[in-house]
Amino acid sequence: MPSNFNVTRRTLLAAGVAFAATPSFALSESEAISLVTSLVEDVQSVIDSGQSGNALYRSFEGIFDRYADVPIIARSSLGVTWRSASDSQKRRYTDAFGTYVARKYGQRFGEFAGAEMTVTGASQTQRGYVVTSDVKLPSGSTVAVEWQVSDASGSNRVFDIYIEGISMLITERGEIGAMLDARGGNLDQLIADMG
Amino acid sequence: MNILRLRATLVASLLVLLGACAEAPPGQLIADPYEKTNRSIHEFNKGFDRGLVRPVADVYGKVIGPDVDDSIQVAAETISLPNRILNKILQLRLISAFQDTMRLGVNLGLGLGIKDPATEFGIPNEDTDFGQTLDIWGFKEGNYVELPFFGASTERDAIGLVVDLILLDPIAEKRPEARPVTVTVTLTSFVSNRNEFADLVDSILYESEDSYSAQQLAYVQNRRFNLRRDRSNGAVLDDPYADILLEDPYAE
Repeated sequence: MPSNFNVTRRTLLAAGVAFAATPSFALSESEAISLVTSLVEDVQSVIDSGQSGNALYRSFEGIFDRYADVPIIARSSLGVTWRSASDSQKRRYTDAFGTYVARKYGQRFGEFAGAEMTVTGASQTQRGYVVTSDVKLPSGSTVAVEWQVSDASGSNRVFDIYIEGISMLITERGEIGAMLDARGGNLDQLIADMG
Repeated sequence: MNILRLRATLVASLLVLLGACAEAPPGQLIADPYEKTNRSIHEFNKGFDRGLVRPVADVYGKVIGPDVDDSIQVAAETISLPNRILNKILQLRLISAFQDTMRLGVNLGLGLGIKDPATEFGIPNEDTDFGQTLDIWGFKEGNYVELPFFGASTERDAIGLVVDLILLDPIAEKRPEARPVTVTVTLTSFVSNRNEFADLVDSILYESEDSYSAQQLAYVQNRRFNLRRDRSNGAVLDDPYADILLEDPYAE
């Protein structure tokens, strides 16, 4: 089993420090909600535009760049391997990760065509806000989606999405870890295959 | 009376087993000491899905119209309601148990068990099982297990499943002759679900790099989310910013 969820003493310590020193947020609840609302509107208009294939993925990659904290999501997805990567590898991996996510989730977002999102609330976390929403699918089923928003990067960004409790960050850390294992830990090979 | 005692003994010994469960090692989502066995069962389950369930679900989706599909889903839910009500009583969620009783009465009386007027009347619809009952009683989830045919589970949920199937099935008890019908309807509803969530299931089983690990991550997170939601606790945050206090990614 690859140890994709390594919590080192350092991260534990950092989490403790972060928790103790609760920062005062510039990000407000209404800003977090409007960020999520406008993200969803942008995704919706891409779906409605009827784009497909590479054009669709490029549009999603643009949305991902505008709304998500890509550097943080990318480094978190690589787990402990990030620390041993060279600067060039880090840069190339972050680029490749954006493409990979846009393709993978672009495909899945198609399933949300005709869906309607209702924001059901927002609450403070140690990193900003979590905006909770219900997405009602045309089939009638409702999916709970939670958006983690933070301004730690200097601007308001989404850094994780939980769909029915399943974190994109945790899921991708597992998936990328497995991809890296399958390539014998060769990061350059992984970057080449992802981009 | 003897049967009752036998049951009590069975449940008690299952719970003793659960008491011996290990905690998840630090840094891992869930303890997985049976990984090797689990992975063999996973391959078996995948073969079963690829060879039988997926093709059958595919045909089901093409042949069965939405109205019949809805009726099958409602019928499967109606069959599961007596078990749900018993579990909610055991969980002391008495209002929810009452709502399920109303749902059963309304859907049987006005919907013949295959239509769902209860939802139109606004009666809440919350699923539960004995795994959740054990959670509410304070039992830990135990190690990860993958069960033949049933798929991803935990030791606690596996015990819950056995209890639900054997001990908490009032219909089988009162009307054993109905068993072929209830089992058929329930199995058909599994096929229906496999068809409805085909893209999601396929992405986990056939498009991920390591389907065993992908399924484990998805199951454990989703299960904890559902248990937590009913206890109305907040989500546990996966915090990627935790180590940027020591290492600044924005410095690059």
